[in-house]
This record gives sequence, structure tokens and C-alpha cells, in this order.
Amino acid sequence: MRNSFQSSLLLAILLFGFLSCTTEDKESAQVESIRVRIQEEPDRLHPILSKTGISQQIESRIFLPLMAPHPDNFSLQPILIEKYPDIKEKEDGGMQIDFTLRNNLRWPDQSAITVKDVDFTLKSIFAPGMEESNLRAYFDGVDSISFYPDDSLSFSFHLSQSYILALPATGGLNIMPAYQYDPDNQLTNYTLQELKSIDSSSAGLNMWSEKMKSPALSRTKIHGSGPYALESWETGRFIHLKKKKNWWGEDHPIDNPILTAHPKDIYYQIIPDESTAIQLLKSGQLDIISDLSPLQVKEFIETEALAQEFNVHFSNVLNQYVILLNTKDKVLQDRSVRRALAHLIDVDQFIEEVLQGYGSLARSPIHPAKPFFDSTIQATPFNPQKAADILEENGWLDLENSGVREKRDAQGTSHSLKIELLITGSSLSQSIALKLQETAAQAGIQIEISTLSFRNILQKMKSGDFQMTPLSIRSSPFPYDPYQTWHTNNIGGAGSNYTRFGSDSSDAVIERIRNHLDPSKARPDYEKFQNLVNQDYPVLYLAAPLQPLVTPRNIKLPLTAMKPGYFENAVEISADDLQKNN
Amino acid sequence: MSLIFILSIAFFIKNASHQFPDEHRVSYETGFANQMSLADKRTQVIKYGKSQKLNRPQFYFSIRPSHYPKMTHKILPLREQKAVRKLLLDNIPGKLILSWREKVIHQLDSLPQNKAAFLINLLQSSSRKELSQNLRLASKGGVNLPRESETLVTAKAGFTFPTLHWHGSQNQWHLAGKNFLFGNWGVSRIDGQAVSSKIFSALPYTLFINGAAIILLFLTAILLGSWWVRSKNRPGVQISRQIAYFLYVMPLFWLSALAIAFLTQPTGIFPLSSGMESKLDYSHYLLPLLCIWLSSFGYLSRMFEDKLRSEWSKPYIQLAQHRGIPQRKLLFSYALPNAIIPIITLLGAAFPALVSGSLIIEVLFNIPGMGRLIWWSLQEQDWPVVFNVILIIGFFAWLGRWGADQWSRYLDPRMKWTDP
Repeated sequence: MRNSFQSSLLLAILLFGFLSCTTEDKESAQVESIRVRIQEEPDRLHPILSKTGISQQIESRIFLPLMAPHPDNFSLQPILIEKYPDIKEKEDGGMQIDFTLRNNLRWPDQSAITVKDVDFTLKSIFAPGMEESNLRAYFDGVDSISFYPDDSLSFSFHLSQSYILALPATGGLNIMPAYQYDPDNQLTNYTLQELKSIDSSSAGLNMWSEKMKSPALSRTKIHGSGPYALESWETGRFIHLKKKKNWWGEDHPIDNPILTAHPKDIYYQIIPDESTAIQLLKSGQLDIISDLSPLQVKEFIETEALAQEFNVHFSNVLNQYVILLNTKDKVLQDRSVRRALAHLIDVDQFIEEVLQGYGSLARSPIHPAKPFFDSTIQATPFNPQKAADILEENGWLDLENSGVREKRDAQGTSHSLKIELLITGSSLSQSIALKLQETAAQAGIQIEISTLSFRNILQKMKSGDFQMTPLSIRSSPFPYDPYQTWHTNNIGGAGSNYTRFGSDSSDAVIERIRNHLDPSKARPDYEKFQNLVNQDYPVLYLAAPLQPLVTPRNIKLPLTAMKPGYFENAVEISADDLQKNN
Repeated sequence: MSLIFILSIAFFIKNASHQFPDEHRVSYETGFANQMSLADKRTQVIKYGKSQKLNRPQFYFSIRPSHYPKMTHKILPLREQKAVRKLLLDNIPGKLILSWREKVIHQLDSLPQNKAAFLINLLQSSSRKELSQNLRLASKGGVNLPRESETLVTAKAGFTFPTLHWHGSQNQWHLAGKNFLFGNWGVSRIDGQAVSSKIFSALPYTLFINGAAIILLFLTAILLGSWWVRSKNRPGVQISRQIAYFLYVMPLFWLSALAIAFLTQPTGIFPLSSGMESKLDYSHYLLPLLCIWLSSFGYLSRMFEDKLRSEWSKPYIQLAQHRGIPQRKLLFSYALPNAIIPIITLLGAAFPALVSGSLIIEVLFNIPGMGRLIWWSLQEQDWPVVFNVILIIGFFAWLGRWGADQWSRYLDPRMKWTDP
């Protein structure tokens, strides 16, 4: 059950994770409309069914969750609820979380947002026909929801087990209007448990689920409790959100950019090609571009004419670039080989040349900007000679002067130091691979580069049929739960422990971390966990990159910790620039 | 015939590229399935397979060894069907495999999760060796196996004859063709939109750009080719031919990138589509049209010039010249109609090539046409869209060739129409 909660954080943060706010403290004015480049079309706008990051970005302007993290300190802040919820531990080891909705919350038709809508949203995740919803795994730990007869705003989630991240996961639920998605109250007659176990063919809910999945409720009639509603969606061209009139949030001053609605219109323009997007930005047909390559960013910064017209912002989106090693591979199971490889990565050069300096060192499974990162951990220095010495000491010798070391095992079988590095065709992974291939050769390790699609690489990682592969890992602003990625229970199957790392002692530490209901008490265990991982070298750390964004100079853009890295709904125009324009 | 051939190719590509659509669709290994029992996951996959008629035979008939069960195609999930086919290839008797499977499946529902995993592995075993290994593991794991299990590993079907099985029209190829003809193109696997709606919103852009390009190229080829023939000694002819050749050898993506860099910003000569302009604002298509024209006019004009020159040297033209018929009339009334026929045929067959070029043009110039649709759909493995887009392109290719034949026949009534 708790596995799923750990993963739920990814969703939670995609929907409402925020890190830090901007920039200049000038007088500013509201902007009429803002145009944002998106690289691809969202699959749909439906909080239960959508699967892409772009969908979740746009949905977070239309739908609101019960709670969202504050951008400054990551602490969870009530959004649709009145106050921080009460959390109770039950005698049977479960949890109860009591929420109370704010008074006077209104849907666009001016009807009240009530517990009925929360009940509907939760049930719809588990209703027959909604099997494709990614949220099922995330909310599996919720056993039931209960209400109070005299109070239409209070409700409780009941969970089968207590868990450190239960609140961020459950509080992240985006509430949907029952009157729009279930006008005939078809789900009301079922309990959550009934829906979880019901056979779809006998439930009589086929019509409901077909309607729920229809384009009409995914691409046209989209509105929720958030400040914007979908105005139009022109396939392949743009998506237009319009600020709602009489939106409830304007009467509830809450200090969180998620509840800000400065532009009256937001246009998400679908522009796949980077150079086309840059030309449109230069010609004034776009206001925000993200996901630019480091070289393009450098041009915006270093070209005087561009620097005068445009601002480059950097958001820390809690990403880390690493190389995963399969610790159960016949060659890489030798810790000394993994340790030698760590000395063959020139991280400083990688940051300087490949990322053009837009990143920092990564040193631990926990991102340097996250709580409980152990800042005493030192990066492994780049030192090919030291790598060669380590291999020499551990019996890896170049017996035939071929430039590739080898070693005989106890059975007398010879293993040579040839390691396959799986990469996708991206220029970033190619740069990483070629550089490592060059430096590894200096220490007598032959790196063989194979290019595969990411789907195939993922398949190989799951089955353990790989040696090394570079990966970009994104994390949430919440405390880190290492269970899914580092516990031995998650080796193989649906688990994500692709490095096959783990021992009884590391498992024990990971389990202790998860059992802390108060994360602040988990610090010693977090430190121990990071040391255990780093001593075993299951991962080669590259960098924690920054996310660059480019806007015209007059635009003030608040930034966030999560993709896409900014709040387009909270954009302002500098008042000076406005006057100049006028 | 051409359309049937295209349908068969598209059908083959779809099946070869996407071996287990049933598993993919219901997230067999990830997502929601994580909390379900293995038996329930399998049931979901089977249910989806049946709803998509994946348990029908591939074609009207099949030829198989006589020991193969007739209904192998009915086995779902597809992964298990593939495993059974491989066991049959390993010469294990079909009847024995089916009766053994029935017993294993019967056991599946009653076993706890950890033991059910052994049975799922058994059902997915695709060789004697793998079967034998999985039987050993299952037995070690405390699973009571059906009695036939050991026999299965050693049994041999012996000598068998090839037999023909007729399946009738209830097959997947027939269904795919019928669905295409009747417009039942299904829904996108990615966003749940009707495939027809995705295609028809993209098609006008591609048709407009390519249609305009074809007309423009045709006119340019005639005008430029005629000029080159009539004024072969003028210096302008040599220079224009060199320029045309240079543009022809320049890759389309490079030409387009240069055009975007120098003709949109900062010069602002041509507008670049941001997707926000009115659908009726055609000014944004001028630059992509120019790029297609620049990259192709040289080849077509040179081709037309060659044909015209060859007509010009034929005896009937020389005879007409001797009779004193004016040069202009000779060119436009005698030589040109004959020289134009190969160009019409070439343009008629050019539609698929132009759509391929559209992919580059539409991505670079931000036009939501068919090229961009097929590019995205391939990346996302949205096979219902890819399959129907291939068929639509095939249909237009056929239409182009048919139209070219009709026109050629009109220009030269001696030509007989034949099915390409």
C-alpha cells in the first residue's frame, strides 16, 4: 500500500509543487494575456485520466487540490480546506486524516463545493472503466472516506497503514465537480470498497465511464475550482484558458501562487521545434519558452542585443542526472569496478561544457536542495590514475596489453572490463557516453555504447538485463521516501530498484525512515541511508541541472521547483515597461 | 489492387510493430495493475483483447501442420498465444498443450499471489527449455502442477502434414479493411479522440500546402522548361539552371532552417505561424510553400526540358517546321502536349513523397498537418492513428496516379487505361 504513496508524490508535486519565488521587487502591473510555448499537445485535460506533464501543468490552473506545498519552505498549505488537517494514528496501525473544506467555495455555476465532490473524485478513480487512471496506484492506501451528518464540509480519509507521506499524497487530490462529471449521482450508491472490487460488466456503470472518458469531458467542457476554465482547444495549434468571473479565490487571500490569476487569458501554443519557438519569441509572438538547450540559453545571455530584450530565468526543478549501475551484473558486482568508474567521471567538465555551467554537483540520492540532504558528503574526485590503481589492487590487470583489463574468477573464468552503456539518441546522453568512454579507456575499461529507445532501456532496467545507463531523476519537494528505488523488495517486477542495490541493513534503515510520522526525527536515518548508498557506488552522480526559461525583459515570472518551472498564471509586467510602451 | 496491397502492408506494419497491444493498453505491468492480483490482471488483458477482436485469425485462411489446434488464434493474452505458437513449433502436440493450459488456468484463481507468478511464467513459456525450467521453479515453489506437465516437456508430435484452414470473413484483416472503408477508424490510444477527427483536422493543412505546391511546380516546370529549350544559348539560362540544380541538391530541412532564420526574423519578410492566427490566414503558408517549390522546381523543370527537347528533335516537328508553322505554335500545340505527359505522371505519384517532405516542413514551420500528426503518433506508438494515416496517404497516392492516368489519356487518347 505504502509503495503507491511514495509514487504518489510525483503526481502531487507535478500538480502543485513549488520552490521559490522571483526576482525583482519593482512596481508591476497585471498583464492581459500570456502566451506560453508547449512542446507537444496534452493527451487530455482530465485530472483522473491524463498522463502527460503538459496536461498536469494546464490542469493545475483549472482544478485545485485540498493542499499544496508553499513555494518558500515546501510546507503543506491548505488550499480548498479551512485549516491544516488532524492526523490520528489508529490502534490497528492505520491512519485517519480529518479535513474540513473552506466555507463559500463555489463551482463556476455558483453551487457550493462540498464533501460530495470529494467523495465523487475519490470514487471515480476506482470506478469500473477507469482502470487506465494512474491515480489508482497512488490512492490505493485509502480504505474509505467518512462524513459527518451535521457538517457538509468535513470528511475523513481512512488509511490501512500509517505512512510518512500520507498527507502530501491524499492532500494532493484535485477535486472535480460531481454535478458535471456525474450528474445522475451514479457513484453515490457505491462505497469505495465496493467500487474497488466490483466487476465492471455487472455494475451498470459502462455508460458513465464511457462519458467520463469521452472527448467532451476531456477537451471541451473543462472547469473546476481553479481560477481558469478551458475556453478553446484548437488541435495542434493552441489551448486557451480564460480567467473565470466571480471566482471564489478572489475573496480568500491565500499566500500561494497557485491561487493567483493575473492574466485574463493564457494561451499554450503547441510549437515542437525549438528554433521556431525562438523566432516566435523574438518576433513578439510568444512570452515564455522553457526546455531550451544550454547552448541556446548561452546565446540569449551573451548576445548583447538579445540580453537587452530578454530575461533568462533559472528554476531549480529538483532534477538530477546520474548513471545507474547494475550491481548484480557479472562485472559491476565488483564494488571496486564501480568505485573506479566514479573516479572516471569529470563532473566539473560535464557541468561546464555540456550544461554550459547551468547546474551544480549531485552527490547523493537526495537532491542538494531538498530537506535531509547530507551536505557533508563529498563528491568523488575525477582521477583516472586513482581508478587504475583501484582496479590494479583488486586484481583487474591488463595481461595481454590490449588496453582492456581482465580478471579471473574463482572458477578460473576470465572476465574482461568491457561494459555496455545504454543510451537514448538524445544529445545529452551521447555527450555523457562519449566522454565516459574516453576517460574509462585511460584506466583500462572499455565502454561499449548502444543506442536504444527509452522504452527498451526501461524494459531492460526492469529485467536487470543492463550494465550502465544514464538517467534523469526528478523528485518532489517533500521528504524523500527511498523505498521504491532502494529497497530490495523493489528489485524486479513493478519495483524501481534498477541498480539492484540493497542489504538487510539498508532495508532496515529505509523501513525506519518510512515509519517516522514526524519527518524531522528521521534525520539520522536519512544520513545513514545516504552513507550506505554512497559507500556502495550503485550510481555515478553527474549534476543537478537548472531549468532555463526565457521571457521578454518586461515580464516578471515567479518560478517553481517543479516542471515546468514557473507560474504562468502569476506573471506580471513591470510598470516601468508599461509606461514606456504607452 | 493497389489499395488492397497498401492495406495489407499497413496491417502487417501495425501487427509487427505492436506485438502485445492488449498488455500495453491495460498497463499490464505498471500503473493500476500493481495492486491487482496476477489472475485479475490477466483477466483484464483478455477482456480488452476480446473487445478489440484480437482473438480472431489474421487472414481468411492459414496453412499449418496438422497437429496445430485450429483455434490457436483464440488464445489470449497475445503473449500466451505467441508462447503456444512457439511450443507448437518445438513440435509439442497441440492437444496436449491446450489441455495442460486449461488445468493451469483453472489453478491460477485459487493460488496466492507469490505462487500465481509461477503459473503465469509457465503460461508464457515459449520453448521446451524454458518450460522445463519454469516447471522446476514452480515445483520448488510448492505449486502442485497438472499431471501432464512432465509429459509436455518430452512429448513429440511426430510427422505431420500441412493443412489448410479456412476462417472466412471473421478475420482481423477483413475487419481492418471494413472498418477503414466504413469510417470506423477507432480512437486514439493516447488521448481517446476519434482517429477520424484527428485526421480530418490535420488533412486540410497538408492538402492545401501540397496541392498548391503541385500546381506551382507544374506551372514552373512548363514555363521554365520551355524557356530553357527555346533560349538555350542565352547566359541567363545557364545561370538559372545552375541555381535550380544547387537548390535541388540542398536538403529541404536546411533550406527551411535558413529560410526561417533569415526571412522571418529580423527581416520580417514572411510571417511564421504561431498557431494563433486565423485558420483562413494563408500568409503563413507562403514561406513553407516557397521552400517546397525551391527544393523541387529544378528537378521537374530539367525533366520537362529533356522531354521537350526530345520531342523537339522528332521528325514530325521538323516536318512541321519545314511547312512554315510558327515556332510558338509548334511548341505549345505540338511538342508541349506530348512532353507534358511524363510530368503529369510524375506529379501524380509525388503525393506520398510530398507528405514525407511535409513532416519536415510542418514541424519546422509549426503547421498542424498530417506530417506532424504521423510523426507524433509514431513517437507515441499510437497505432490506430498511424494505421489509418498510412491508408489515407495510400489512398491519395492512388488517387494521384489515377488522376494522372485520366489526364494523360485525355491528352493522348491513344493511351489505354490500366490498373496501376
